[in-house]
Amino acid sequence: MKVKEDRLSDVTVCSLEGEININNSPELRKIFEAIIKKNDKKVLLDFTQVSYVDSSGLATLIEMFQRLKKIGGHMRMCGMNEKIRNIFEITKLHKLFDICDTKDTAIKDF
Amino acid sequence: MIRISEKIPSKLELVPGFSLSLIDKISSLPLKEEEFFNIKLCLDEALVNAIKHGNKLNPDLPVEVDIEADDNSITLKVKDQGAGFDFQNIPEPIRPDTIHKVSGRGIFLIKSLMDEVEFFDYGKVIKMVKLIRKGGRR
Repeated sequence: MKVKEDRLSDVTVCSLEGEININNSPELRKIFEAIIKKNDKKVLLDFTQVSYVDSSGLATLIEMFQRLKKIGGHMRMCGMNEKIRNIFEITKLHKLFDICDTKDTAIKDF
Repeated sequence: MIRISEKIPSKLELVPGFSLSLIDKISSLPLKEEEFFNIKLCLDEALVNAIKHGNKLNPDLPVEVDIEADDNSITLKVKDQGAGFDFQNIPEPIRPDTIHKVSGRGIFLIKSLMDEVEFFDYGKVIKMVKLIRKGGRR
């Protein structure tokens, strides 16, 4: 898994690439912790290049969502393919998370 | 007819590569790409549960995987060496009081994505069945 971090005005954009699985979820958690330490409050996770997410990946995303919420921040996601979107729908996490179809839509009015 | 029997040491870092190698071995089945994706996800979740909760991360204890497939279905069995668990009382992680919980989605995903799921031997064995629908194509 690769993570590229950019800044678009006041939004931190994390472009994720590859699989989010049991092996690299701890690494992703560390990246999220660093973002929270910087006090970045608007975080967009771009899933365009993500090919796979397992339940450990979902757990890491829920943790990030909750930690950001605690400091008054907000997490948004975009660019999921149908297979991954289905995992969020089955687990009803699409109702908990703020998921947009495209990066442009996600950035708008963030 | 496909028959596969393999073992994996209880090391979580081996799971993604191991399950991918098994998916490669069944890649001739007439399943759609998303069905292979979902079967791999279920296999990963079952293996992680078996290693973490069943074998308690003891690398000396293997997890056994048996796969059988024909024109109609694919059956995957994952067996650990642990003490089993109460598989009849697994909280659903989609209720308002559980949706915020960080963990506990593995078995729920398996039950949602597979056509049949059964536990045997006090929960030490999970059997997952995916039916192969006619006209399936990658």
